[in-house]
Amino acid sequence: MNFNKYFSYAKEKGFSDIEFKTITHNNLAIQIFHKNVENYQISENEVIYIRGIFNGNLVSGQTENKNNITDIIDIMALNAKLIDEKKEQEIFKGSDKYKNFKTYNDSFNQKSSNEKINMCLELENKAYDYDSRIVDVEEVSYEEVTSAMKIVNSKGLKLSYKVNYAMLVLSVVAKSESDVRTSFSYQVKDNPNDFDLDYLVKKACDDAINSLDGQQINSKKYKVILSPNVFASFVSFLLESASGEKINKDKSLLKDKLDKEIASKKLTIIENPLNKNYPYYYRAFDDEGVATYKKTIIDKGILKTYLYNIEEAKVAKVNSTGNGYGGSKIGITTSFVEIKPSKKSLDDLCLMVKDGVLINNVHGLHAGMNPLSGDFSLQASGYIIENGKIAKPVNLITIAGNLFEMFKDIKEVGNDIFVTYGGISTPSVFIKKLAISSK
Amino acid sequence: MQKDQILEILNAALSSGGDYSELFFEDTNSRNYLLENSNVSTALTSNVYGCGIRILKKDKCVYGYTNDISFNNLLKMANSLKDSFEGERILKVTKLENVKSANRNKPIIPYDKMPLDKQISLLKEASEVALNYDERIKKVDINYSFKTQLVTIYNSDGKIVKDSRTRGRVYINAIAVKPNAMQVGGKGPGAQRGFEFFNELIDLKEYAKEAARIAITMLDADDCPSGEMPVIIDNGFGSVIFHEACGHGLEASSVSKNLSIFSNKKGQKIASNIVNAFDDGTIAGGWGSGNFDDEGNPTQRTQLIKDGVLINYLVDNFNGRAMNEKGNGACRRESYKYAPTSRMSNTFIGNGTSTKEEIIANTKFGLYAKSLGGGSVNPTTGDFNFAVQEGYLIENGKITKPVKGATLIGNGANILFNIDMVGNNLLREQGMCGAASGSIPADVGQPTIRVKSILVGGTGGKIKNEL
Repeated sequence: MNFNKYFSYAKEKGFSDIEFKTITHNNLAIQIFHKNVENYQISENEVIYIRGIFNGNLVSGQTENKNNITDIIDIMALNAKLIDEKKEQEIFKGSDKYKNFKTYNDSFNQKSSNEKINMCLELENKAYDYDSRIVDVEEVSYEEVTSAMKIVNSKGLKLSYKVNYAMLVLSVVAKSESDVRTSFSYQVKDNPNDFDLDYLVKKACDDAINSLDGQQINSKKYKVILSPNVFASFVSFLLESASGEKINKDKSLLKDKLDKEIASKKLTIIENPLNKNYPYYYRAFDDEGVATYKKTIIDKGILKTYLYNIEEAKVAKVNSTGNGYGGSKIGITTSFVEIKPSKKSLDDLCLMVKDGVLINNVHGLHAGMNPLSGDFSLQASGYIIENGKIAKPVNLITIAGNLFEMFKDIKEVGNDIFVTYGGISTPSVFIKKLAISSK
Repeated sequence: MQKDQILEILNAALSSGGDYSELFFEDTNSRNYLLENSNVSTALTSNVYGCGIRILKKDKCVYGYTNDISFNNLLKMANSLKDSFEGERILKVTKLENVKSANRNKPIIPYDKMPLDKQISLLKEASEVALNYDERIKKVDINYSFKTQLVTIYNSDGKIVKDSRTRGRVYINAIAVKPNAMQVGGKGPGAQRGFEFFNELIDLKEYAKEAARIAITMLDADDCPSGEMPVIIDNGFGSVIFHEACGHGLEASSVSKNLSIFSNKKGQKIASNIVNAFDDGTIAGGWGSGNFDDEGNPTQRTQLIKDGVLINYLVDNFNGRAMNEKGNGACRRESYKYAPTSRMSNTFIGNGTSTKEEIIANTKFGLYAKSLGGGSVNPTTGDFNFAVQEGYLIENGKITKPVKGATLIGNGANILFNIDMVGNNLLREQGMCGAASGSIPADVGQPTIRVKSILVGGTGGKIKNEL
């Protein structure tokens, strides 16, 4: 789409600078239920995100109707007059240099829709055949996404990128005489031929079967191992507290903690948007057009940097760290995050724990975690660790504690790396103590 | 678009044996404003615009959506969707007729008829009330949004259904701070009404004060003890527990696949005798109301549970097929980007006979959950968890002290049987409900209720043997 005429329209309306960003999606989604294609969905969608500076105030709009762009600009001009907060704003002219890496391939076209459906059906069959206690396959779903972004602005910036990936998800139900448990597994790949069906089946089915007839345990503080998916959720809350906006606005307990010890020496967290092993998480620039780079956020427990977009960087009088992400309203978040592993396996961690609990599922994070204070109390399930070995399942327990304290209580990290859908690569970690309540 | 073009698309969609086709056009304009400590810091205008095409063939559903709603593109999408079925045409649509309904939710003061600075100044007054409530209230964020969703549905039953849904909501978060501790209190009133809701029907300042009061109370609260105990859940948003642990399990999307703990339980007892529950999309101005649902059926008031017996599910036409039931006006979606499915609208537990005072006085020891935060539930197992936003200990029939950090853990099938007292003070409050067809506005409601025993998680140590 050509936005040139809108540059001049916005100028006439009184905008000093304006930016248009289009994001297009072409998706395919297939859901299988009981050997049938239950849902088949195709979609194409283009959203136009507009950000403009009017009287020094930044305002934004977005539309999916390319015929009403001038209407949106008119409303933005009215909205600009309501803004009270005086802040230095900027539409970005661009970084000096950008890395370049191909994140799009045409592998999706190598498999027909029918072949993709058959792959899902095969996955469902394998799950039913795995064990007689797998009584139902709740869902097999395949989704492929092709996404393209373009940014153009009145400062002369022109950037674009295109990415594709596919995800395959399996959810199963396991049943014993007296209990029903569910579990799921997934993989994200940039080529639909790369899915490992046997891995997905083993992961989901073992999880569900092994957690059957979970017990409750005595309420007290336990030594705990958090599985990678669980630890990743806690990491994302910690990183939220490192957001420059939260720091500037006094909404984070990490304020004034730069270069101070905020976590155990065992913990190093790196943001690496340029990790070529995971092309679908690769970002050469953020959503404001700022070039990204690899950075250590926590180095052996020491907080090395906060995360900034342009707006909050100006408040703090620093440079953007390339963490401005969002559509029309640019917030602060991370791209690909890596927790540095050790050489210790999960078995080694269990031996270190000797007697404790392995938590491999938590629920209700959006409600049970207070992102300000870090206090949390969450429904959880997992396994008892007895004599250094994973033993019987535990279910319907709660784990409770404080996020910031918990990061100080990390005794060891493992080497069993798992990459979450959200783009966090982490091993299991051993936490010295965590309150568990049950019966 | 012309009617004959619509017919051509609907019929193209049916050409491979589909037994139902539908076009869902949407044009939604919304505004969002964020006030931080009474200053407007963010203003956003947004237009969601496009069309979703759905084709059903027996137990199969295909869906596509696009924001290029030109005739040629929609015809192309219909043809590409129908290619996933193989078969001969069994149905042809020849005419389309409007289905009429009174608009129960028409705004009296449309948002675009009230100057924006007047709307904002009402929010600023409320913000000041919260900021001045206590010197430890350091931050007050107010999110204000309003939107009008215009929907036109054409389907192979020959129907044209139009609905216009104007909603407004204010969400107030007050943050209380003391050294090394922060607590947030929130209130979020909203309605399917115009600006009259904010300047005539409710007093925003009271909501702001309430948000500040919650934050300050929790700032000084002790950690909640843990263990099994009776829990009194107050009226209003506390019903989110019923919404999550029971309501979702009554939706045809999981019932029809036998994935719900309530599948095949119609006519059976699923709750104690004193529990009655309803879903009502017809409430005038209700946050979760509509004149029609998102597949063009008129919304209904449906009793779900009568004296503890399950008497109705929430049904959409597609999932209803496997249950031999017709849709009962409960089919909803966030936007054209989602295939619609069975969802709740305004869902609530009906009034009982106890007063709140009686319920508290009858409880020797337990937790009084005055308001809940969010939570989640596994629909297959029924396991749920909820955060308590504002909680108090009850000792010897009296509320004694505030406690923070409590989580309620349990199972939906059990909790309904364990409700042993129901109050007479039904209140509905507003929430956003997320599920397969997106995030939609929904009311949750209940009177004060008591649950005999729930596992409470908290950091304040195990409860002593007072029971």
